[in-house]
Amino acid sequence: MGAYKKEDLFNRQVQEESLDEYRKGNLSKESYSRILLSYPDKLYTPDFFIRIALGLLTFVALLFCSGLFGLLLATGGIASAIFYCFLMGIAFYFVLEMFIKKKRFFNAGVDNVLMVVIIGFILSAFLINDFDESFILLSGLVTILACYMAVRFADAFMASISYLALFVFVFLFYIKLGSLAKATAPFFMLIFSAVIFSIMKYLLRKEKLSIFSFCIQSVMFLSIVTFYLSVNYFVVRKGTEEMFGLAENASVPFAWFFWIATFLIPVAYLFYGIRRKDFLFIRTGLLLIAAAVFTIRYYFHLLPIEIAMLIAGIMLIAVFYFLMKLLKTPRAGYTFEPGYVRSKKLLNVEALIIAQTFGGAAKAQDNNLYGGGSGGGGGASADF
Amino acid sequence: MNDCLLQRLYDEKLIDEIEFKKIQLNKKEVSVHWELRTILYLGIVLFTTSVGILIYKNIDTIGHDVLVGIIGLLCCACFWYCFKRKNPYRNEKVSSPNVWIDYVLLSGCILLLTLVAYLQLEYNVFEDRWGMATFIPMILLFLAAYYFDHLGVLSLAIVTLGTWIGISVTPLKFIKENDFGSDRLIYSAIIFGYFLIAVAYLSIVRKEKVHFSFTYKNFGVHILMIGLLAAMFSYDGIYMLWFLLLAISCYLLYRKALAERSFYFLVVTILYAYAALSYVMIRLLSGSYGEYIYTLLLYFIFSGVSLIWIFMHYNKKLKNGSL
Repeated sequence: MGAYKKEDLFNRQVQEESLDEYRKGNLSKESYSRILLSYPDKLYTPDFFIRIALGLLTFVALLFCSGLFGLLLATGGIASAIFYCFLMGIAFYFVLEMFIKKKRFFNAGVDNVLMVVIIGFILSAFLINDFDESFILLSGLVTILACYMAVRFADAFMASISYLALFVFVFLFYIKLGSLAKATAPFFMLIFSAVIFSIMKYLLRKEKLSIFSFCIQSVMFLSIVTFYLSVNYFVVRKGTEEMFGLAENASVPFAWFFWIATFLIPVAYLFYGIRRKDFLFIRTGLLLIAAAVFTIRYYFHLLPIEIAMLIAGIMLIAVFYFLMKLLKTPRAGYTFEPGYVRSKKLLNVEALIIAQTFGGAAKAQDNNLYGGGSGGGGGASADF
Repeated sequence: MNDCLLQRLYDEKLIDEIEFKKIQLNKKEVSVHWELRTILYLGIVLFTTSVGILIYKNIDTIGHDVLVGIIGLLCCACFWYCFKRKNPYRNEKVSSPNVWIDYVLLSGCILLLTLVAYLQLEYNVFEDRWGMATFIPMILLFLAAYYFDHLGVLSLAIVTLGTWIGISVTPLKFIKENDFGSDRLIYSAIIFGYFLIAVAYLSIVRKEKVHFSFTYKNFGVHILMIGLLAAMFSYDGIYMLWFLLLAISCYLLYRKALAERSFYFLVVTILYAYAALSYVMIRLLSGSYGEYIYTLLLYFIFSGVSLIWIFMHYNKKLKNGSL
């Protein structure tokens, strides 16, 4: 099913998680390089900046490639344009498969751009003929294509796109069912998000699917955001005004419920996250509290903007000061101490270990980077 | 790390018992350092912006004299706090004694800039010598950046230096007539770029604040390359000469990036060089009837693919450390 070997993806994950523990100082250099050797990472992911450059250049090459074929194949007429778009989409898909098979690209910039471009071409093939009334078709198509890519290439971005498209698709489909459906659409989408979240949470626990954990976590994040947005007063009100033609001063049914939800859900996320030590909920909760504040301010002009900002700013600084003092000594499992040792020296050591483990002998001049010389340059590889 | 994986690594004897316990224990205690830092940052941004708006709206009731006094006092207070709390100066990187001091210093420097701008606009302290109005804060900012070891302030100082040069090279007559001579600006940008890159190397050679050199070089490379590209675009007749200069500069920077194993500068230099080369190709191949269009398309396809290949090659080289 997947384009990559399961083992490759698993090894990559082991390496990433051990790097995390190593940076936190929980793993010794020896253990870390032992793990790196036992779980070799064969996937190709270059350095961050190189990835950006590769993505840009792939885009340039694909753009002009499409231009060239466009010039060669253009005969005018809709049929030939549709044919052209399909052809390019399929051709690029084969290029992508070939790259992954031959070079094992994984989030290398090239494959990410190719995926987006392929979906773009296939969508335009469908869009050329009818521009309007095709949102259901469009979102359905994106859901399927992106889901396929996410499963085949274990790509979190595609998983997110797929979820968002599915959300739009379900919404558009549901409101076609009649006026009762239109009135209950927010609740339906709320339940939909919750269902997707529970499914994802169930899947995340499956050991077999651990190679998809990042995809699953991305969808979980989006699902708790859409859970909130479905009943956020601002979204509901604007949605009703735009789509169902609600008058400017008429009130939304169940307005009290939406107001309570707008305020309560972010706070609930935050408290749930703090209790369970779940950073997904803590960070999303903080983000959505800001959304709640903006919503309230949009409808009730309690204070002039600058006074509100002043109060919010002072409150945030006070919260920071209070929590910093409180967590100076770790409390209830939380601490203010940075978990990561972010020093550059340690990162250099990392690069050297990786170089040593995979790139053969380290050069003599590198030895002084270890600093202090506790283990010496070749310490790690000498055991093997 | 999840429990299954942890158990698995332990069973395979890849990690010892101490590490196993450590990871298990560490999972019970989590750090909220960066979350709290974000809250502090947001709080400060909201606070300062709102104070700015409040002052702007109430300027009539407050009065300029009072305002200048308040800004000056605040600025002094910020610097006074930094002087009291700072760690002693060293040529190496000095860590800040607490979380606040970085923010306080940055606020002090921004207030300083505001104060000078206010004095000039409202009281015309420097009269027509606009150069002086940027020169004095620039010197102070550089002093503060080195004295307190603050990269943010250093960036501010470099930007102010750029402004000062830009103002100094443009004769006052042009400013008043709103006609910025673009030639002078392009030349000074190029020279300024070279100057910053030279400073970056000097700080490494002289071992004075070596960690500043990235900031200098980063500004320098971008200003230089944008200046050279602008020169290529605006001097039609001799664009090849500028291209030559750009190519030589890129080649030197590229050698340096390889020697320093810097992915960032490698990518930046090659992409700037590619942009310039593509411009030259477009100039050469844009015939009046579009007869070279296929050649041009093929150029972009092949150059794109070969650059991808080159980047992959260097990625491997730099990572393995076998140069």
